[in-house]
Amino acid sequence: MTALRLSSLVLGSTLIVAAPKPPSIAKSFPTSAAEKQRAAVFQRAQHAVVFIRAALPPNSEAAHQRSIKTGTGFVWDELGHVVTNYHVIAMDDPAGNPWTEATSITVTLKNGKAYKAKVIGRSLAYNLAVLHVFAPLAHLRPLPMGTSKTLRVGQSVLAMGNAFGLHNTLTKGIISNLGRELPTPYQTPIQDIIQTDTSINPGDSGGPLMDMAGRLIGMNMAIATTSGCSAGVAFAIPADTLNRVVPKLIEKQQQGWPELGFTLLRPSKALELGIQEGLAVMDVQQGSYARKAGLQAWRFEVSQKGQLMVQDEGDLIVGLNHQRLFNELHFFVLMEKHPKGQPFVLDVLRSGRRLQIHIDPWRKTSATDKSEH
Amino acid sequence: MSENRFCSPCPPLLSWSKLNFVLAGILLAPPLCAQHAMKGKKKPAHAQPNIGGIPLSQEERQQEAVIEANRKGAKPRPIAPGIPLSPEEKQREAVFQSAKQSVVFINALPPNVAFENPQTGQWVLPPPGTGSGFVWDERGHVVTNYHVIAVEDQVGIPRAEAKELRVSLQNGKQYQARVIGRSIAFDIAVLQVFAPSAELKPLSLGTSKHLRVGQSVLALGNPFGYDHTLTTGIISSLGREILTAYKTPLRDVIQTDAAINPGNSGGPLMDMSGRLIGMNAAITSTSGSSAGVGFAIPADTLNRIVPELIEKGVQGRPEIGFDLLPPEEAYRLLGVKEGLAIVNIVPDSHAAKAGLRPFRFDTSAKSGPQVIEQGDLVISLDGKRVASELYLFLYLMEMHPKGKPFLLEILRKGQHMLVSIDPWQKLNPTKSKTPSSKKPDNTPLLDGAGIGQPI
Repeated sequence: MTALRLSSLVLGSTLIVAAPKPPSIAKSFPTSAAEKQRAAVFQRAQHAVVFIRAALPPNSEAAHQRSIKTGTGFVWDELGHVVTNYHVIAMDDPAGNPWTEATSITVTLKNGKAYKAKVIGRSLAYNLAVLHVFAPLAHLRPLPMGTSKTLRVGQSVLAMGNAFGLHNTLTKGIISNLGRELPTPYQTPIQDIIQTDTSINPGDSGGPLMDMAGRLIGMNMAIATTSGCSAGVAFAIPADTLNRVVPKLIEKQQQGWPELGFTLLRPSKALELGIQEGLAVMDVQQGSYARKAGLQAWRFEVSQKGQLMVQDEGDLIVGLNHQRLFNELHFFVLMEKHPKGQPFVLDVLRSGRRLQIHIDPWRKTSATDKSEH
Repeated sequence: MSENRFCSPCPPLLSWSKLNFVLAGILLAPPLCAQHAMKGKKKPAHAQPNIGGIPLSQEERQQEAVIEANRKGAKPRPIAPGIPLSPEEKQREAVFQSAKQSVVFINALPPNVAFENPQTGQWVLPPPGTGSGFVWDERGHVVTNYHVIAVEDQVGIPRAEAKELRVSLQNGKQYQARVIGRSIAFDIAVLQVFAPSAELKPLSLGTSKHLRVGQSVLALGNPFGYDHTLTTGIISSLGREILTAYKTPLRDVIQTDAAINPGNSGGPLMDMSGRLIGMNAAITSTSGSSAGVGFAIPADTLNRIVPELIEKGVQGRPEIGFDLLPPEEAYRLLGVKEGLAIVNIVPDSHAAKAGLRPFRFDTSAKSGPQVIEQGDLVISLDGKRVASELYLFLYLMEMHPKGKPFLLEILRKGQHMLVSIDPWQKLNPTKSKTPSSKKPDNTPLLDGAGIGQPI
């Protein structure tokens, strides 16, 4: 617009009558090697970086909480696994701590299409979630894997994400420092954190940090700032940690504790059934440590109308290792933090009475001692 | 151990634990066992038929089968080949490796002084300050911003300095330090760090004369307390004039878009050769953190001011020639509640010429120094009351216009007197009238050099 107006002015003043010509484009320098590199990384990475939207049902019991979260994730493998930060798919409580897992997650790809996804693995201690996205596999192209072992301070890095909801935003910077320790929102420390001065903003959480070859070297997780926006101080979980933990999460849903042999009823469902306190134990497996320790499961029936009804009341877990549990994510964090080799001590409510159940999965024959108090 | 769980080949027989992913919202927990899937077949009859009552779409069943199938055999991914570091990346790494040994983390513990907030009327204690600094020479001098080690009141006037300074080096060791030179006008402080000189590597010095807008720069500092953070950017502009934290103008300031944040103050700005080209001193931002607009005091200014500060402790005016007792000492020794006690007069100095009189002590007594001669108390400077505030006095000294005489109001034996001292006037080596210039007697005197603040 400005150019056009300008040219007509010139024409008017000099009284030359001619068909208006677009201004000629000035000659440019050839793109630099670094520019070409960045463009190539972007071209490839845009097929791997996804937009994640996580929500709770609008009329859920946690309706007072922030009920929608958005963030970034990236395609991990050719099988539909997407990796992101756990805090991207967990809703904040009034104090701002992400303590409620989303029930509805959609993943938007580069083609603009949104697909449903499910959490298939989680590690709160590493602030990691693995999603399975039900999209055509042809649209899911994983990033080349890198390593965080050989990184150098001063090295150029690229970040990609959905800063402020702007899909596939590429930003550049350098590695500011290495080997830092940073706590997750669940107060667990992550080691060997990568610090960069790349612009990382709200919405970038869970997005990849890449080297100039476009390889995954970290996952952007947190920033230090007074404004809530990038101040050039950003932190990423190192790729080597991801490459160690994510396969375990894919295979076993969790990492960090041996399989004890029971599941938990979702607290929102428990509340519907009138269970006020504790985590309801379900599905205690035969031959498992939990069964040997004497843990008793709840049994449910589904009515003709599809409603869940209690058939047998079982155990309610109210504490782990002498700590009172406030919800199921708290239980997971404590399980992950549990020192190896030590028995798990469950505080259980059974028919109104408190029991302590010791489960020692590190012993060949699990302990079955129960003490009432 | 997870093979047992894998049971997608049997879609009609869904165990409870599978349900938790099929029926969105009913169950959440990851199964805490390995064997449940196969064992699920042996479940009491009540579990299975009930599932039929819940609508379960074919799509959901398929999804569940896919999820389980794709879990199998997950392994760490193979590392793809990388590319070598570019010359620029190598340069930055080299600068970091070398400069990190010269950049220090400064922890300033404030004294127990509270300031009244004029707006709220509340009394507040200053928070501990942190900042960056860099090694200037082999003698243990570290340069930083004055505002890193000073405590300001609510209107921004420095009223105290840190009670204790701890300087952390890159090797993790922490040493005590003392302020040995200050220029409030230039927002520069020089510290003496009591560390082995082998651990203190001076930063290589550059010049700010040949800088160009667009040139790449590196900043090293401790933003938000994250030590030795390297950030990169370019020179955004040159020759700016900005105001320091104390509202004094700084010229030839370098503007950069390298991320500078709280805690970066006093840290070096370097060129791609790792040479000092400036000291990061301020940012413009609405949030208090980096918005890509940072300012650095140019290296040529530092290289002019810092040697003066090392040599004389002050800059910008000739020495007046007396020492002031720190107020807490004055209160302890003299019971002085108001006024700054003059304790030492340099012979033939401007102070001696003006007839100022020092307090004299006998330090030989075991019970501590005893006053043997009353001296002058400074009450105000240029008409501004200093009460017992040494740092306010230092601030007023610096704010005093060059070339003009200092007007001191002193209290001598209960009487207020005005003394004018013009240090810009040439000193004639005339005989002084002050007692301090008399032939020294044998009484050991409290020497202001170690304990007092030279003015």
